[in-house]
Amino acid sequence: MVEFSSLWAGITLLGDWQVILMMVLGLLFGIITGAIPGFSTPLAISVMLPVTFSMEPLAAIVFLTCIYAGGNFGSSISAILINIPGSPQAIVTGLDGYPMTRQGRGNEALGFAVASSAVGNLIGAIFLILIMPLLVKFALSFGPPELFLVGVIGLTVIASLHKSFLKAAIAGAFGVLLGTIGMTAAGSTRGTLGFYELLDGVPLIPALIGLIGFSELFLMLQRTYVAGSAASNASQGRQDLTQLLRGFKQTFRHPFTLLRASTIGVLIGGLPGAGGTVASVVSYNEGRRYSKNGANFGNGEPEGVINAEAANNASEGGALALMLSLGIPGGLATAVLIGGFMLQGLIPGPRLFLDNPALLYGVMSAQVFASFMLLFFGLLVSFYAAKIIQVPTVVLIPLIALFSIVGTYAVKLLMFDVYIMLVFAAFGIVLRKFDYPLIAVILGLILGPILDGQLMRTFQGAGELSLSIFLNRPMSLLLLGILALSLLPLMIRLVRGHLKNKETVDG
Amino acid sequence: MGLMPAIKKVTSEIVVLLLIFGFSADYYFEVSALPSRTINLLLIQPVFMVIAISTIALIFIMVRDALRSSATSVSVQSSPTKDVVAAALSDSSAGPVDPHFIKNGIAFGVCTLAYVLLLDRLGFISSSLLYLSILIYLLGGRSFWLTVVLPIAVVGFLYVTMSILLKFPLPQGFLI
Repeated sequence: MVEFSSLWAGITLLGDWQVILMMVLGLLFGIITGAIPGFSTPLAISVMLPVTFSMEPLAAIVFLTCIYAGGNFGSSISAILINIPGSPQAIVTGLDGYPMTRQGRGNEALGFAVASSAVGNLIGAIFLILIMPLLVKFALSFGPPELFLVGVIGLTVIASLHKSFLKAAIAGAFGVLLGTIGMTAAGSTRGTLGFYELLDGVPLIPALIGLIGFSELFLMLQRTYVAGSAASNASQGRQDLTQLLRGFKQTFRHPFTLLRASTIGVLIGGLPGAGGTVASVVSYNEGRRYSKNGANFGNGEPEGVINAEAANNASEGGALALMLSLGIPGGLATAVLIGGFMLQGLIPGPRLFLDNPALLYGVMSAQVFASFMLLFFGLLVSFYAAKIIQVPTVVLIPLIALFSIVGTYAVKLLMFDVYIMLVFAAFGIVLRKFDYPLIAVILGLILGPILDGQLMRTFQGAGELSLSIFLNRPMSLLLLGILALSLLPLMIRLVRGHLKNKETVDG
Repeated sequence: MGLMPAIKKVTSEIVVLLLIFGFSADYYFEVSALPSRTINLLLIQPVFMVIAISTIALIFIMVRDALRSSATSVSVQSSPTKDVVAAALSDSSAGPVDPHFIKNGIAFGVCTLAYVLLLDRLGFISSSLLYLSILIYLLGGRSFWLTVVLPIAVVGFLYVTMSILLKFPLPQGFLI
């Protein structure tokens, strides 16, 4: 059950003007950067990560989670106006949003997107507050074998992420190896190449900034404008406030659609690896099935925008629940958020909830307030959207590069971290070029030390390592079942691929 | 097409794979040689096995696919640049591709490397101003606003925020 005293303590913490300011700045930064195609939400969070180092923990975490919330909505702006989603999760929004723009109803579509994003975010936040204590209670009954299995389940996400399982497996396993570099519990030093700075392991923040942020700049280099000339078409009637408000108001005439889409978003967001993109696709398909205007989906149907946006934003609640309760990042954005927690000396997981209940309830309650703020700031930014999406890469790339380098340095005031960031940036470019999933390496980096530590504790506790350790514990058995279930789609895919391959050869 | 030309077609991919495998193998053998071998290898051994088996399987599949595709059709030859462009286009957004990509890429890489190496020698303000101005110029920005005013504003903002407000000591060299 929700601890109301802690909840109230958390809400009280939000009264600090610095926290409120950080919420506003985070939302605005998230929405604006989200609207710029190519400036993905994880990139936006990673760029701002070092800035949070000197902040109070609540202000820092709220700032980052608000960037996450803002980015989820912001990416729909460019999807609607120019059919180029700011981040992949807004792809489905463009299916109906862009046709609406072509019909001269772009601002109306933005109004629908703002309102449904805010409602989705709100439902996700409420879910987060309600489900967290239950998840934590569940997670607290875990011993080392269960915690090890939770880490393995987190890694199986990799299998569902990429078309090439082998590439994903190599990237993930390599990430795990990188995550184990440094001083071990047995007192040995592994893989530091003589650098004493690596004794504490590969520094996560520089690695994240390099892999996600800096390597993405090389992709941006290929374009003069990330949005391209299509952005100029978006300026048609961009300042039609009446249309914007009409879409905004009409959204609330679809309460059941909002509720269904948000529920789907929350549930799918809670699955490791699924995230906002899958949530919006499933919600869109369900919406088309249930709507009396289903046949009009894809031709500028407002309900399509509502379904996609509500689910996309609600997925954040599910993803945060998974990350906060078990310490498993469901995707890139939550992986970077874990970095934000670590910068504050906090490790996401059940202990965090016990040790800092007010802080966590503050973070979760901030999402509720951020939903209401999103209504206002979403409309505000949407009103000037066409100008934002036209930032040329000649400005964008040097600025992001400078912020990333200075930010990386600022974390520990070490140039070594900057060199590490550049090494990971180069690695990220190679991985992107040869189509290896970056998230696999990042998951490995984060989960590697957890897997290593818990496996060692399991071994020390039992005096040996065998499958019976896991089979004799009911909770482990349950987790093994979940592990098998999460591998099922991969097995089906491999069998299908094999059969298809056989048909091609025979044919 | 024979085996060798087929392998050549996927050479760069195989080189990357072998580099990852090489690093992993080196790490595995380093850990194997440590005291408390069993404990140190608890996780690393199975993970290394995953990498080894997956690498072998992937190389086999790549060569097989290259052999198949060359045998069944006259495929369009791809170049690394095209691959990068295609990957970028399929990524998430699809703006027009800048024809000066390679030149810009080299300029970005060299400028960034030089900036990082000079940062604690020249000092934050001077090296950052130079970095921004030169990089914006090389990427195609020519106006006074972009090459002079913007760098001064951004570096000034960063200096005030980081050094004065947040009290972060930024790198100081023989300039400022």
